[in-house]
This record gives sequence, C-alpha cells and structure tokens, in this order.
Amino acid sequence: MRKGNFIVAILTMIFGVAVIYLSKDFPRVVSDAPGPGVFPTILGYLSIFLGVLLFISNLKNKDIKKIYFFTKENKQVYGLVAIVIIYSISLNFIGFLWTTIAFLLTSIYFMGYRKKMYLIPVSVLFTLFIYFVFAVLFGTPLPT
Amino acid sequence: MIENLMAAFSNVFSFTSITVIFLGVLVGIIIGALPGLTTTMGVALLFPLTFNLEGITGILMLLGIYCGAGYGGSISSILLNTPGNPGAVVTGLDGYPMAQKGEADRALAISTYSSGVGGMFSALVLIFLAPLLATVALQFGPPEFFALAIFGLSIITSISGKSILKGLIGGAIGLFIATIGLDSITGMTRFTFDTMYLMGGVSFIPILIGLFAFSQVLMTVEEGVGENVEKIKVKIQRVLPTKEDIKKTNYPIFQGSLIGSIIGAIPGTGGDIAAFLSYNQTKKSSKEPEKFGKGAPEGIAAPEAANNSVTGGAMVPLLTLGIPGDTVTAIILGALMVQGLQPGPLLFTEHPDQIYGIYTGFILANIFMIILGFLFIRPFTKVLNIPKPILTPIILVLCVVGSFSMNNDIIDVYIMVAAGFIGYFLLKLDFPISPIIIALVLGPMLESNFRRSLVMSQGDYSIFMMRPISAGLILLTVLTLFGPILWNRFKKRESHA
Repeated sequence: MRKGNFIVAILTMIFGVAVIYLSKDFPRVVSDAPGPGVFPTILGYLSIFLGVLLFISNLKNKDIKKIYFFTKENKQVYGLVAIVIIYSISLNFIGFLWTTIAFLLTSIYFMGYRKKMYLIPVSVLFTLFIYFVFAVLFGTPLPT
Repeated sequence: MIENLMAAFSNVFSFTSITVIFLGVLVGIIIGALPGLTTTMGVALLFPLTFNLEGITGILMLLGIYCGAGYGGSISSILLNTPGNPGAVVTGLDGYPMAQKGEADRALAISTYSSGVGGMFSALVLIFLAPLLATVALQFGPPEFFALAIFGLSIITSISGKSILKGLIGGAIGLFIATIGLDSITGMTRFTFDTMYLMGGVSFIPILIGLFAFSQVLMTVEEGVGENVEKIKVKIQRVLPTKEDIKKTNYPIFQGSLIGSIIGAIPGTGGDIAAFLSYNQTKKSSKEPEKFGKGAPEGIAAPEAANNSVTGGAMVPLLTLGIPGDTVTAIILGALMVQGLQPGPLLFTEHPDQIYGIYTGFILANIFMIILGFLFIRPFTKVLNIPKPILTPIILVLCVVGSFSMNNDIIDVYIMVAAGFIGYFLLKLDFPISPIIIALVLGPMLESNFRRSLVMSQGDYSIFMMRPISAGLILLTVLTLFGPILWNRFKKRESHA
C-alpha cells in the first residue's frame, strides 16, 4: 500500500501540473471577475498541494498491506475485462441478441459455472428479458 | 395547490409511472438484498432507462430503488448476517440471532413493518419540511449557492472512508472533469482538445456506471464475495408481524424514524449512522437492555426504521437546495437535471406539480415496498441463492447496455469499460470513488456561482463573508470538516465502553 500511495501522490502532482499548463491560455479576468482560467488553475494548485501532502504523510506510513496484481483472482478479473471488451466491440458489428447470448455463455463458463442445464437457458432467457425491458418496455436503443 | 396536486396525481397514477415505481422498488429490494451490490450500483444501472421517460417518471423509478434497497439490505443481514448494504449492519445485531432461533420469518416481518413505517414517516417529514426550507432558500443569491456547494463538497471528508486525503484528491479530479466542455459563463471551450465528443462535457453516465457498477463487480470477483455461500433454506410461516411485536416496537420505530429523518437531512451522513444511533438510543431507554444482541424485536425495529427514514430526510436538501447528501442522491440530482429540472428553491415555485409528483411517488414507493415485502418475502430470500458466476455476467451486460443506450453510441461503452478498469485499481489502492461523483455533480454549481458572486461584487472576495447566510454556511462547512473526527472519537469511546 505504501508504494501505491507514493504512485498516487506523484500522479496527483503530475495531474495538477498538467491542468495548470493546459489552462494557461484561458482568460484570467472577465468583467472584473475571475475568468474561465482561474478555477481550473486553483484546482491544479490544489491537486499539487494534496499530492505533496499525501507524499509526506506516506513517509511515516507503516502499512505493510501488499497489493497483488497477478494472483489467480486478479487474472480472472483481467480475463473478464478482456471478454467484456471483445463483447462490446462485436456488439457494434453483430448486434445485441446473438453477442449477448454468446457473452453470457462464455463469461458464466469462464467464472467457473459448469451446469449445462442452467447455463444455456439462463443466457438465452436473460438476454430476451433485457431486450424486452430495454427495447420494448422503455424504447431504449440497443446495438444493432 | 389543488390544481398542482391534481396534476401530480394524474402524472403519478398513470400506468407507466406505477409500473416504473413498482419496478424500481423490486429492483431495489433485490439489489439491496444481494451482498456486494450497492444501492448506488442499482441507481447507476437503471439511470439510462430514465431518459426515455417523460418528466419525473424516471426519477420516481430511481426513488423506488432508493427506498427498496434500504429495506432489502436487512434480508441478507437477518438471514446470513452479511449486510446487503452498510445501513443494514446494525439490523443484523438482533435480526441474525432471532433467525438463528428459528424465527427468521418473525425477524423479516418486523423488519418489513418497521422499514415501511420509517419510510412513510420520512415522506411526511419531507412534505412538511421541504417547502419551509425552499421558502428560506428563495432569498439565496450566487454567494449563498456558492457557500452551499462548498458545504455540499465538505461531505467528501465523511464519505472518504480510510483516507480523507485521497478522498479530497478524488474531489479535485471530479471538479476538474466538471470543467471540461463549454464554460457556462463565457461560452469558451475548455480541455476539449478540439474534439466534438467533449464539447458538451464528459458523459456522466458511462463514467458513473464504470465507477460504481463495473469496477465494483470486478472487486467482488477478486474478493470472492458470495462464493461458497451455503444455500439458505428458510421456513416462512407468517409474513405479518404479531400484534405483540407491533406493540413492543411502536416507540422504537417512532424514535428511529425521527432520528433517521434528521440524520438523513444532514449531508454526508447515511443509513449506517442513523441505524447505529437509533439502536443505541433504544437500547439505552429499554427496560431490558440485556436482551439486545440476542434477538430483541426492538433491536430490529429501531435501526430498520431509522435506516429507511433516511431516504425522505435526504430528499430535503436535495430538492430544496440542490445539494446531494450521498452518491445515490447525487445520481438522482443528475437525473433531475437531465430532465431539465434544476433542484433548488425555484423548483418549488416554477414546477410545483413536479414536486407534488415526487412526494406522491415517494409515498407510493414506500407502499409498494411494504406490499412487496409482505407478499414476496419467500422469493426474495431465494435471490440470495443465485450463484455469483451467473450474477456477475448479468450485471456486466447491464453495464454495457446501460452506457450504450444513452447516446446510442458505442464510444460510451468503451469509456465505461475504461472508467471501470481504472476504478478497479483505484479501489485496490483504497481510493474512495464517491467523492469524484459528488464533485462532478457539484462542480458547475460551485464554479458558476463563485464567478457570478464576484461579478456582483466587482471582484471583492469579502462578499462571501459579508452575507449572513453564506458566512453561516461556510462556518457550517468547517464544522462538517471536523465532524467526522469527532464522530470517530465518539465511536472509539463507545467501543471501549
């Protein structure tokens, strides 16, 4: 956690500097009052200040809790995100119904569920249910 | 008034409105009951559906989720001793022991009953208090609204959990995101990098769903929440509370409802604090305090009533002043703005019919909650048996569909996935996410009123301290900033006692 805090602190400071840099050309004064540039600049300085504060307070931090990135569970998370990315890209080309059924089948199986008796009906029925609620009941657009 | 009331009734008692409120409460109870799924997640996931509903109809659905989820949390708290939401933690203190004694149905009935009464009580508080506060707030000018926004932001310190510093950083990021797009005063574009997509500002919904649903789901996958849960088999013989239980819990419920409504109206607090205070108060004033923690009916009723009456209380500052008390009300605020209804005192004078509609819908949501609670408690307990490998992908589909449906744009889905993946790492780093959303919602109010005030005073900053209300609010902000520290001290002392 200590290392993580240092990273957060440094990223916050970089963020602050970037915001100040990006707002340097915005007008400072409009009709005697602060213009569009003032507020973001204040936020930039505030971020740098908070980043420094976090950095300093973290020097005394004795939290030895480690954060893991490559455990079995982590990999399951990454795998799931990858499946979602593939799903959202193919939505654009194949449409909602078939991709969603395929996505549910794949991800439920990926999560370790193996009972075929439920796997297929759940995937199909839930997809149809979502289609009904979103497209039919509420008239919300779905990818086609 | 009669006219507005009639207009509100015809609006709320339409087939669509009743259906969506019912749906909202149902979804709310289910989401509330499932550990790992939060109220915020439910509201974020169903938010996109509100776009296609006219006026306040969509808002009523979100209110339904808000009410339902507060109650639903107690189901898992009683049956599994795993609270479905933070507000239900205290309910488990006596609810779980009672269920262990084979009286799960009794515990659930008391919880349903007291939740319903608490919710209704808070609706009355809302109806009585909101117009009074709105009348006062009508006098407010830009300096007061600036001070209000600052006050609203100060709750970041109380919702930041382990690290207030990281919460404040999140707040700064949220405020920055709010500046992206067209400047509301000069019309200048800021931080758009010359792209059309960013002209109207960053889309709120995909980020919301990413941060509050997608990342949370990834977290539950990593932590293995809900895995290896033994199947619950509950014998439910009666769904209504006994006369004796009702008599016993009358006063605790009244007291809890009062505490909950007041606590709810204070931004930055929430169901957990209200439930805790109410439980303590009831235990202190009880003639048999030794029975608490072993399945006392009062020990279920008091926190449950308080937990649910927070909803009505929280609506008071939201509707009258336009400041949200937590992430759920922040999202409801966003939904109101999408419908062109800017919460604040003017809402009461310009759209009284909508305000009455919200009151009516809110009462209706609580009635549905009681009906659903009594009629369908058996299926609700079954929901807890849904295996996580099935539940997780289903929520992921809702995340994707929800972010797509707002603008009919696949880019929003990519933004949602990116926000969710970043959010997952932020959660791992103990980085609280709620401040980002609170700041994102309050940012425009803060900046525009800050600048308008200074236009009024020709650049003189003393304007914020020269006006009594704005000075008072800034003082209140300072108190709120140090409040959590005092609260922690109080909690420590309590746990030692």
